[in-house]
Amino acid sequence: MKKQFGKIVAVFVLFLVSAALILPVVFMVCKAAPKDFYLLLIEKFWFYPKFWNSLFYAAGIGAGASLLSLLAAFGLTKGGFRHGKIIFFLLLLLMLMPLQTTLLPNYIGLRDLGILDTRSALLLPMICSPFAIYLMCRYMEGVPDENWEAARLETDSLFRILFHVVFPQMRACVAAVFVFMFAEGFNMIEQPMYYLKQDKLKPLSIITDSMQAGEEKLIYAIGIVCMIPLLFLYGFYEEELTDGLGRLKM
Amino acid sequence: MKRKILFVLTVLFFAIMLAGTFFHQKIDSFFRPKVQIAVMESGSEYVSFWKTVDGKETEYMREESYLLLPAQAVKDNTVYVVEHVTVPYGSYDMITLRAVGTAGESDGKVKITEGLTGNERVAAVYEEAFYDGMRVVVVHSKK
Amino acid sequence: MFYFLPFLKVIYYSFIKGQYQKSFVGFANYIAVLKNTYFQMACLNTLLMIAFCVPVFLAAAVLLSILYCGSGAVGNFLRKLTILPLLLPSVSVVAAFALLFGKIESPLPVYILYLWKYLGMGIVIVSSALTAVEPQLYEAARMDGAGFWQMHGRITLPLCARPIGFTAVLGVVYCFRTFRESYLYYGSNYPPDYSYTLQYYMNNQFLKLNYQSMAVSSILVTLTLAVFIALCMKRTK
Repeated sequence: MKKQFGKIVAVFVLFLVSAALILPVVFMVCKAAPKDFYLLLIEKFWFYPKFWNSLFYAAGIGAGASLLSLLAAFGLTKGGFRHGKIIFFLLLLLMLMPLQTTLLPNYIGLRDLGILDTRSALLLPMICSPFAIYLMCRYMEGVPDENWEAARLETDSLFRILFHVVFPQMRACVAAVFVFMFAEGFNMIEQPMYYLKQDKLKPLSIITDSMQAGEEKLIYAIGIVCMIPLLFLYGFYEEELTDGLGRLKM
Repeated sequence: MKRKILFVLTVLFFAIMLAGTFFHQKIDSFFRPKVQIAVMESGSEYVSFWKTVDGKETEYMREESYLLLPAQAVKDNTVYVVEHVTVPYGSYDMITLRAVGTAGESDGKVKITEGLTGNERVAAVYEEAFYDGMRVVVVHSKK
Repeated sequence: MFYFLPFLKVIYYSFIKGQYQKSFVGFANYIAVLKNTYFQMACLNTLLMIAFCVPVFLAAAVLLSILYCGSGAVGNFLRKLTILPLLLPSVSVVAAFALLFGKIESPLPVYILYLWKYLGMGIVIVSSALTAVEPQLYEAARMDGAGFWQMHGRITLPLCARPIGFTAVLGVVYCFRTFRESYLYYGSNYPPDYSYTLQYYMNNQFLKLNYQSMAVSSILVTLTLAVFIALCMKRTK
């Protein structure tokens, strides 16, 4: 009896917490008038170019980061590096750095490469995300070695091993990294603010530039439109996401 | 099942976004007030005026150009001028209220003496629903 | 890579006098930054935020994930929901929060934003560690008549010490990351004094093209965090 009661209380508390988590979203939906959507989707010229920009960056970062981190993690965990520990520590450190500290190194790197104020200035640093590589490494450590040992006997082609053996086992983690980096790419604010000068290249997250006076209330409508792709992705991959992020540890 | 629904929704969302990208201008212009451009005729006439030169009043002739606009386009000495406004990512037509000097009306045409130049575009019909700074769609009349 | 090699250059920057005057000035830049009142204020505010947020974050993450794991399918479903705020675009979320709170003369809205956004991460990590704990242990403890607090204090905390430690590290790090939300919330580079954190300081130095101060402060933050993380790793081992 007592146990039942405790369980009910727990579920009730959890419902409250979930409600608190969703509350701002509901609030935003209530706040956005249909007229704002009309303005945004039909009248404003800047909306569509920026929306596709955002989506392009997000998809590029998601796909690039999941592919690169898969390769990097495979190399790091199974390649037999001698200084793996040090690399891991560096990765962890980089992953945990606040954005502001990496901003200047990044900026300098991009400037020296001469790709400031281009699309790749946003894509490249995010694709080489230490977080993605770290998460992938952690997940890959949990997968037993025997599988690719066996595959090594069958074929010599690294590509085939990767595609037929590694990828299917890492599917959950790849999905998690993809969704997470997609969201990160969709959310970038500081990077486009500093690395880009042309308004044409900027994503939807920096709307204030091309916004004229009196368009502030559009922000709710923009928020909802931005939210939709992420909600879909979340709906698709919620299992993988919780599973993949749960493997994160030191 | 859940994934199927989500997939359909995703496709729908992208379809709407794509359609919006290509057609939002057309949909927009469907709801906008339509404005025709008034046919403007320019002309000039000789106006005589008197001027005192060396203590004597002499008659001089001066050439003055004027513009003829349909009477519907002018009301209380004001017309709506159509301007092409360019903003980031696009451009649209906007009407602005302009005070002009008129000088008489004859067979449905009003003579405009000042406030307009010949290469500006004027809305053909002055409608009460118009306001300064309104976004409109210019329709070219078929001839 | 984009992070490591340029960082060496940043270290070099922190020791020279100016962008174009490449003379070695030793630690003059460091002293100048440390003496800056804004830098001190920013440090204080950041520390305050860490001191307030991280314990709450940690406690909430542990308690909630115990609850989530204890309540079966419903808990499992709701647990996935907590990840959602992490994915939502900050622009819209912050706009909603700004409406919700209005103008409050304290940094509390930013703290709540922080908790709202990153709690899911903590819960996911802690609860995935919790599910790895063998249920027999709990059964045995219940046999011995252990209560809720006793059971989790004796079994859960020691067994999940490492993930919980990692969650604490993440909490600290996320405190530094909340700049984006804070920036959007106040909508300017010069927020009220109580929210002027280190990130704002660095941001403004960057905008002023004052690379030296920026380099110094980012090196200081990096070093502090590196030492902190290394300590945490050592202790949890």
